[in-house]
Amino acid sequence: MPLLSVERISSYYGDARALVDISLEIEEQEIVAVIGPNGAGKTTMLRTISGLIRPRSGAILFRGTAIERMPAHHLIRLGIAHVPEGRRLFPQMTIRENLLMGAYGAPSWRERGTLIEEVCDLFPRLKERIGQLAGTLSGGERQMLATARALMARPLLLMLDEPSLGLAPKVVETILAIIQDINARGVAVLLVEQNAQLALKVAARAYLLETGVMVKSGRTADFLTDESVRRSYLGV
Amino acid sequence: MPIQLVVAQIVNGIIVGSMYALFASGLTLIWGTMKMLNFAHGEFFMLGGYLVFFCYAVLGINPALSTLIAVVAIFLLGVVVERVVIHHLLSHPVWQLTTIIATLGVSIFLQNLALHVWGPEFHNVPYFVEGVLNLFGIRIAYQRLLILGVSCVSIAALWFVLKYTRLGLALRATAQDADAAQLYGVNILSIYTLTFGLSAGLAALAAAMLAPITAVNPYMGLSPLLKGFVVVILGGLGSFAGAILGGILLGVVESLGVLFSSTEWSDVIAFTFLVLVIWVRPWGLFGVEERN
Repeated sequence: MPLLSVERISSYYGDARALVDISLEIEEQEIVAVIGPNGAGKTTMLRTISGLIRPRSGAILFRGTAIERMPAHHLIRLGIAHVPEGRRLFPQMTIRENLLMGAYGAPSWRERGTLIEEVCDLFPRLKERIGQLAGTLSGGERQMLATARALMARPLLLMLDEPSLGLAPKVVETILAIIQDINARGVAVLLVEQNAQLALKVAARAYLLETGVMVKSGRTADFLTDESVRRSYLGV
Repeated sequence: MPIQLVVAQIVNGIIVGSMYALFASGLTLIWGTMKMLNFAHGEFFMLGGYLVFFCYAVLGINPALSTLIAVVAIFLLGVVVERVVIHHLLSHPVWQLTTIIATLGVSIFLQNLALHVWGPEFHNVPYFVEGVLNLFGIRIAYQRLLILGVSCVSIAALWFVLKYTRLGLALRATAQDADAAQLYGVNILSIYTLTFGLSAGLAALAAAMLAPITAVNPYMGLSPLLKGFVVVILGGLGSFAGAILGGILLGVVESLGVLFSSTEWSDVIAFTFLVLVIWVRPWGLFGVEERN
């Protein structure tokens, strides 16, 4: 049984259809990338999985349980942590409080103290600034905090929306290494990226989403050799 | 002008201002978390006043218990109003407007209900504590000191809850980013209901404390509502610290203004002060400048 399976969902923004019958699967401990141009519906897809948007049709199963009608705040309890586009930190809260919020709705709330230590070991930069307001952090630090906050929930599935956006190449490298490290600890990662080159570097499998339609899926190796993908998304 | 008079007016201003602060912190709490204006806040205040009048002045229940009854009852009323009137509006696109209309409706309804049931008369509520403190020629009624004490304690308690409890964490998270709060397990709809109730309870507490000084009548919520909005905008919409300091500042400015003019001018002074402040700082004293 796949960890997450999205089965033919369609989502709307008002009357405009943003996702058309899209399907996707991710196995336990796998890294899967979803690439595609700006406005293809990648963020809508993640928001639909998270319950922030209700699909009009289709099903979403997480470890075999239907979640497409569940309120958004239940999903963290099941083990789905979503790092939204733009990080969406709590800017007037300290780093410590942001991390605490990561465990707020999860069973891991009881071990929040040790968990903070744990994620701080993973992100030493955050440890130095633990009492600082999240709004004062740099772009790279924000992405680290957003990722660390998600890890506070001890997720089975980590969904990252454009983690590289607005970051310097060097910082992106760090973030990628962290994603691989997290995955090595047994967390499945659903990585949504406009930067295809980057996403294909870490993922085992990938999907290509264009104007709300899943147009291609397969192993990353196949994406890297596909002529149209190379031309449109890899710039070679 | 004798210095005692000035000091006495400042002290008085702080005391009245602390009540503005309590009243306004409810408004700012609702604005901060739900991003809506509650025009029925004054009527929660008014009903709190009536409850204290009936419990304390009519039935002779002790003042602390009367206050508690008023606060709990109005908290529950706030919860009911949120669930029945506000809740379903929040999921619709133009909720900023519909909630204004809806709370205005609740305000008019409750005001007229009170008028119909209890009549337009002013009801006096005896002081909770008798006596006057005489300190270096400055005379302050114990009732006013009680007001100051109660507001300090409740503001401190509220601040503690917001800053150090799990509930406070959820409340602040909802205020700062409702979507992200949901993703991390906050049931924001329950938070909205609770915030509304809490805010109504604060209005009732302020009413209980002020009833002995101002008397109870169906329209008693009107003036605090206007002042409350002044305070909230003065301090910065959604800022808790802003509501507290804005309230005290307004109280002091008003009572010092009375030294130079008559009491009828106090509203003029308050609003002139507001206009001057937002001229210089449109986002208020403690608000954050919005950038788009």
